[in-house]
Amino acid sequence: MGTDHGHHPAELSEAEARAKALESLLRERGLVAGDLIDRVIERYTTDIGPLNGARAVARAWVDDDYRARLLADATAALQELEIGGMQGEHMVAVPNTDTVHNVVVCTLCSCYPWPVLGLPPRWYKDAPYRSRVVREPRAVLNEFGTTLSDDVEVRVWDSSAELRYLVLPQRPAGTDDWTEEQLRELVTRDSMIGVTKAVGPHQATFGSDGAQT
Amino acid sequence: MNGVHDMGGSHQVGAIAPEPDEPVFHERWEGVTFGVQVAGATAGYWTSDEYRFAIEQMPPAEYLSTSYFEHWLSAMEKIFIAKGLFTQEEYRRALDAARADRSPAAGEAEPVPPELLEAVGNVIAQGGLCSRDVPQAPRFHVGDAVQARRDAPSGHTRLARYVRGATGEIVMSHGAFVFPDTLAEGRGVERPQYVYAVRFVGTELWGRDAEPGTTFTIDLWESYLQSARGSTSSPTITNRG
Repeated sequence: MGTDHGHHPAELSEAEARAKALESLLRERGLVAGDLIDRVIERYTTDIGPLNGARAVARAWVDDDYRARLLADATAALQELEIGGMQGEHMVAVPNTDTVHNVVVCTLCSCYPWPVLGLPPRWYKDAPYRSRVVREPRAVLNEFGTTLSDDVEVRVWDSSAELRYLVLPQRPAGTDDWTEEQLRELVTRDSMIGVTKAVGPHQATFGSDGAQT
Repeated sequence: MNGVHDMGGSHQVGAIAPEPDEPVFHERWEGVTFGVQVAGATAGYWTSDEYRFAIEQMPPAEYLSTSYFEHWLSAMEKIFIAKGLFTQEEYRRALDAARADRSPAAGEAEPVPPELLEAVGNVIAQGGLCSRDVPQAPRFHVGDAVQARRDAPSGHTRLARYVRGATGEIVMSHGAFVFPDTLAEGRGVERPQYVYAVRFVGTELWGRDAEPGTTFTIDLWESYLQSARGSTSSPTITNRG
């Protein structure tokens, strides 16, 4: 391999080589062994994702006592649903109302509640969102299709410390007879970051294996 | 530090580009980078603030032209070498080997030692608490008007530039947490102090360019703040929530 110039597979990218070099050195030093890396990747691609947050939101929509506990101590309320861990040690839930719409950012790095929403999407980590949402949140929300009237306060939360914020979206109208399990389907990742609202009942697509994006 | 990472309010940064059905990891190396980071954190090679500070010390042009997981590679290379897990020369040799040999890393079929598996599992499932009990009482309380200091430290800080000098209102008192500015120096100096959510109205931060009906709440450590009592410029927050 590597001698048949012009026909062999592409060279490793610089980033691939760096990741592989680090992995090999950590393996030599015993910090990594066996399929540990694959197991970690598996955890964050299957178990840990926005479906966790959606479970908590749907519970809060159907259970006023749970909602009160979530707003009083989100870390403990999420723990009731066995949601917690790295980057979710100190959780705060902020509720959307008819007069307040919350949206979360980390302008200094990309802090994000991993155990609740999974790992963040690229747009959340990239410069445009981090720069703009603390200056022109209404314009940013518009781009996500979220148009709010001027009498709704847009409340931006910059998670600059170790607190991680979960937006509690409003329960969509027309879902009074929906079960908690059905309601989970309306709770998207983006609605828990706060760039969108929860999905309306007519837009829901059932049978998906996770919260929509 | 006044770095390009501190981007709140910047102009001309391009469009926000959501990706439909985005995978958690776009390429395998991103997942490997993430896994290596979890392994390094489990072994205690950094605190979050040391890690963030290492990223902030990337050359500005490089920071802006590389992706999130490339930032992670830079941070880990810097810290692992600084803390002696391997030398610069050993890393260069490992890079050369990685470029030369495209086969998967050796040893993947071996079992993971149970104690390593348990340690990594605990870090993922429990994380690490950053809150601390401190003997002193909080200096500020919910409802207090406070001004973010105008300091511009060259080291790590979580006092974002876009709020420096601005006056806001404390809306939550979170309790005491380890202090990033000292912890980032890598000597384990926690110096815990109270953290507050401080809310600024849009016009206080952006003047006539603020959008109507916008507020900005940011978590700030007590030493980032001074009392704004008696200040005539303290803005009134219309709290409709």
